[in-house]
Amino acid sequence: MPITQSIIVHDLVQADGRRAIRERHVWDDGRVEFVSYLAAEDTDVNVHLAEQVPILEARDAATASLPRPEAVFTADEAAAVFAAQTKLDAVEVEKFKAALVSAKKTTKEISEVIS
Amino acid sequence: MATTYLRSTDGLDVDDGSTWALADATLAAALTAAGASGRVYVSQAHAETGGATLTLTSSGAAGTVTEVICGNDAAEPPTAVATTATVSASTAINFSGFAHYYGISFTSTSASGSLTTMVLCSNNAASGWSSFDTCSFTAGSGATQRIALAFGGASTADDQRFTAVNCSFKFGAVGQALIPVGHNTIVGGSFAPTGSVPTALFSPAADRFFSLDVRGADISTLGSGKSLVDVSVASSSGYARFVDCKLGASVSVTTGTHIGQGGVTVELINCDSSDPSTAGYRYVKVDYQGEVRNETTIKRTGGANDNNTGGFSRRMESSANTRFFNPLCGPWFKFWNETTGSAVDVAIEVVTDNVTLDDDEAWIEVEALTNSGYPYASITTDRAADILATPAAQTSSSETWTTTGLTTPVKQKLSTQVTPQEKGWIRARVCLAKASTTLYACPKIKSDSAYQWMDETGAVVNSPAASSGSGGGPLIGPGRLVRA
Repeated sequence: MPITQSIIVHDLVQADGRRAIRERHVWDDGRVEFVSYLAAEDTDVNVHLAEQVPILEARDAATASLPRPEAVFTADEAAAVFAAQTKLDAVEVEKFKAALVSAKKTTKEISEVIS
Repeated sequence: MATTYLRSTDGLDVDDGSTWALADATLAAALTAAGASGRVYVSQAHAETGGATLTLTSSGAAGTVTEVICGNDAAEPPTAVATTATVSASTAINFSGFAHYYGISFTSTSASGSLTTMVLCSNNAASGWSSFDTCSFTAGSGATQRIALAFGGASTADDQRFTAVNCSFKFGAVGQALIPVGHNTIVGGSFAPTGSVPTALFSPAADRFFSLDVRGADISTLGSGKSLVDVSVASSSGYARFVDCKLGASVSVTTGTHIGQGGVTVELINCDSSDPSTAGYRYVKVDYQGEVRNETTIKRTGGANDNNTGGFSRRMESSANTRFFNPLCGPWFKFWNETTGSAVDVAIEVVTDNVTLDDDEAWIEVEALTNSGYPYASITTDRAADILATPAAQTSSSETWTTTGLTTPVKQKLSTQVTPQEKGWIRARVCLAKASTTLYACPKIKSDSAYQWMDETGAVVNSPAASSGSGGGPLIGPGRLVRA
């Protein structure tokens, strides 16, 4: 999704000479996003405004494609947690572990199995 | 519980680790050998290259933490700590259990794209505490790799805390980030001191809650175009607070659109890239309801003054999401009150640009000990009585403000009266319910207060009159490094 409009809505010089800048970026789905920062006195804030657009769009694209965080469980660890949770005997736990390995479960799937 | 020695240069995991000569070779084996309440001495020469995934599980519990200390192997046991041990894996390094680590650099060399390349606490989705002192964590080169500070519970809310003192976090691509999960305290150290600088340093996880307290850290490599926290991650929730940190110039505090009232709140307290003696003590709070920050140009004449920059105010800009029952709340302005049994007036002066605020749009909220016999406060306000009450304009004010940039300044006073029954703090703040509105509030609420100092919570303390002694100084001054 692209940003359709970007403007500077606030630009006020502060006591130390820096400028308090507030940018407003509007996405094509209607979301409004603000970027606030303190700019050096001689900063071309319009350049910053333009440079922000691809940065924000890249962030959105990356966030959308990221998997949820997953721990990397080995089958041994999964079996240990499974054992603690289910109180099953060692034989049953070994069967569980073997099933995970044979099914070639991903680490995320293993996390879900033992949760 | 045992003392175990670890040295990769000549160690073997088949040895019992009881001396340097019988040292283990891998940290995983040494952790097992040391056990609960045990201690692992890691040689300064230890350079471990693990397999694809290195799983470091301490058998310690909350009260029986395993200690892993890098020390000089010239003595047995070491008499001096060291900081040169290294542990690396080609995919991921994951920590579980309760352990404290000192002086070790952990590195993933993975080039995999979106991998969670380290889980620094509770990778087993159970209770855990990982404490690191003078360690470093380096992600691989994958474009969007993440270092998770903790894993969180897969289905339950386990107690998990990540603590880092004087540690550094390094990255291999600008799309990488840290994932805060559970409770996190980071004191000192640095972020991205070398290598790539993330576009957004912290990127919370979906479906996980976090609290993050960063104090006295060097975040100065994050500059223009970078941001500290991504607040847009769906289903994320938490509170990030940065206190007394060094920032890069022009860094943005947040990136993204807040997802809701329960989303991520970020607070920046005395963190900046400039000298506070000229820039003032910076304050920022950003949440779903809007943004509050310090302002050093638009300020009340004779108003808040930290004896540094010639005065300041708090700028509050509400988002489109504020409502009567969901206002943007400013930081507390407070003073110590010795009066009991009689009324105390409390007022906050504000100014807007051509917006006359009604009492259902902005109001003062005062918390005072108005009940006798208990430390039991009540909230008093000049807000409209309820959401259906007919609103009235707040009182106009004749105070003098510097109003540079405001086309039509409208000055008002938000005020109420409380009758304290106990000595204690009186705290007041502005609540701004009118959507998409900007106001400036003066933190000086006690007329005979000499100075107004921001404390480490972001509140502004109205200090007593200055004297030659310590009475005029900050009650909790800015610039302190506090270990939580």
